[in-house]
Amino acid sequence: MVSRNYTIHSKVGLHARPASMLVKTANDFESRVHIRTEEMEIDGKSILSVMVLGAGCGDEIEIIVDGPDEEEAMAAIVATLDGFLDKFD
Amino acid sequence: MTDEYTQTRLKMSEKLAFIAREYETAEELIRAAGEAAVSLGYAEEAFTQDVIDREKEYPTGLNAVMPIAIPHVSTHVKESFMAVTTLRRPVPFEPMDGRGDALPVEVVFVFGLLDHRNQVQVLQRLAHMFKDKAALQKLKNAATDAEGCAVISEYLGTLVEIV
Repeated sequence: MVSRNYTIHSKVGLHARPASMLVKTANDFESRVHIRTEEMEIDGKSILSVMVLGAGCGDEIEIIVDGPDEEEAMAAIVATLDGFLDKFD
Repeated sequence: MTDEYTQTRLKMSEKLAFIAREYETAEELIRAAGEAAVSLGYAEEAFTQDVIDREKEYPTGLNAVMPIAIPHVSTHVKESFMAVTTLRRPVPFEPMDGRGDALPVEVVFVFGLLDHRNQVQVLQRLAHMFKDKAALQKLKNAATDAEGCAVISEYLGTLVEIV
């Protein structure tokens, strides 16, 4: 299992399209992906769950990846999150 | 999670409730909702095409407790609003998470947001309703635009402002 804290820097937070990109990336891997905040822990492969999470700009999330391709999955997820800033702000 | 934008309320009225309608395509459905918003003064003409184009690029079909879709943009919006459509026959919408084929959607929320920074809060509120089978079923069972509006008021009363 690998985990990493990540601060959302996108001004608009994880709204519909960034959330869908995150979920798509998570689903490219076999490992289980969970996202935890102070309030809840959700399945990072479910778009509805990511929307319920409601992560906004400046919020810190913990990404937890567990499975055979966890390192690659974590790198891809972080790259996707980093990419939001350019694409959606 | 909260921030300074949580107070946004989306205008909604019977004129934005399209209950038990029939459309052949997602585009036709979005066009009906968009044109209503334009005529009510909530959006500019270009809004409708913006939503149609955006839906093609980033689809919004969602496999919730039943298949739904949430086409939306924050461009050419004059006042934040929400339109609700229920369908007699499902209309295909491509899934937002890219998993699987087009979804047979029967409940659609078309909305426009004046400030795109409100999206996360709005989606969070909507997502709670999308997990509530009783709420979506009640909306789907509504027979008239007025009934549909009342269901929205009941479940999303803090998010929408019925006018």
